[in-house]
Amino acid sequence: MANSSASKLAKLAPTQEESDRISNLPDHLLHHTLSFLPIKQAVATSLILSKRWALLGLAMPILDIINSAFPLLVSFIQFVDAVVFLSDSKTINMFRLKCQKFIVPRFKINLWINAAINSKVQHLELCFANFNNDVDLPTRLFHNSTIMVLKLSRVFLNAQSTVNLPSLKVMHLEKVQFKSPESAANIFNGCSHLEEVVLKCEHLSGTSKIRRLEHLVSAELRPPHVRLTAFSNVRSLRFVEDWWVPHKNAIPTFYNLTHLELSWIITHDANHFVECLERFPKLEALVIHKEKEDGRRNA
Amino acid sequence: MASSSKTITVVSSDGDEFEMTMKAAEQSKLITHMLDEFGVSDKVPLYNVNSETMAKVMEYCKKHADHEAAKEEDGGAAIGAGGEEELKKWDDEFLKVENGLLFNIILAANYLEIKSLLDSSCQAVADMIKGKTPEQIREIFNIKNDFTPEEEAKLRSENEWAFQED
Repeated sequence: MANSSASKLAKLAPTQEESDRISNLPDHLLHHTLSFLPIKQAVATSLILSKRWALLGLAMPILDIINSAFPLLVSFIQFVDAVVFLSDSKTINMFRLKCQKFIVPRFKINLWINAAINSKVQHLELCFANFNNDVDLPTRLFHNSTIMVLKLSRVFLNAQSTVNLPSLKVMHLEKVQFKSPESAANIFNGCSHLEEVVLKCEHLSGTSKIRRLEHLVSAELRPPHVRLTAFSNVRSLRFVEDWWVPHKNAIPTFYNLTHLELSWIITHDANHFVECLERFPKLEALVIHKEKEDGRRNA
Repeated sequence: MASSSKTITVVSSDGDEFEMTMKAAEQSKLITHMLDEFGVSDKVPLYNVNSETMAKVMEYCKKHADHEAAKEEDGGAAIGAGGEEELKKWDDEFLKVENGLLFNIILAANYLEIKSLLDSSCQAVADMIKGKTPEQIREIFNIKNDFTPEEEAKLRSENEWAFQED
């Protein structure tokens, strides 16, 4: 029988307790291991462990950076600059930046995002604090064929023209402010392959212009700020706020929905809610959280 | 979908044969693909994995398959958070092996495409590195320091950004 894997993996020698077996692991597995450490330690340690490890430290494919790990803004900026611009890695698989401690100059953030885009980033996460929300993302971000996961918190999104993100499967938008009424619709209409959506934004407009997302599997939304038609393909739906139950004609039918999770329901008439349940013909599980209590019922 | 009572046989690099249920086999993307390609009747050769490692992988796949089956049985309800925690504790104990075997498990999990095992085993190695000085890490893993003092000093000064203390 053919050995199915002409594998690039080293088959480790049986018993050589004295040998340095960890360094024999292939690069991508050592990078995977390093990704479970805080990046500061991962880089500082690998750079001086040995020559092999120094090469690894200078080519990290996952950049998961929290600015609270740095005492000064200056050291934070130096670190991000170095790992983003000096990296020998051909691709940055993930770039996650959490900036809640400092106000980072906007031009810096744009530079870093552009560098990540140049490195064919697949997973991009940006999370800022309230006082840094003049961050305006580069337009290049919206015409990108490699990005698969996009999670944004407290940024401005200005998408005035068509958006094209054909590979995007997961999008989380929290406290994002849309600079123009068409922005929200433009963005969603440019992500026709979305599978997972979390949308927790205020002042959302134009959601009725979003075309139905045909590949959508799960969504987390704030009703009634969002027109539900675009999301009606999902199998799993969660409302993150109390739901003022509308008339059943105000919501579309969710033909694939099996799992519905609600925070609480508010209605004058219990029948309204029961009628709305008709919109979920395949429902198998309904979960209602009231603070810390869990109510559970199978349809 | 094959029923869970069906079993398949895999063969290690040492020639030993191991039986696993279809549900356990589904934990590995590679084995699943091979079964789709070649069918269930053949013995599946996994010549990149020795017997010692294979035994551990079999144990892992069985445990996780049983856990998934239990979840499916009561509609996902009773397992809850407690069940997931228990499984994590089991994983932690399972990975308390000597380093050589742990690295073989990482390689096997990568080859067999068992993502959860790959993540857990890499996390276990990361936990051994976390918070330790380079000297301590070299000691644990027998890593030879091939820098001269001058080379190390140069590297540190060229990369000050990486060594800023809290």
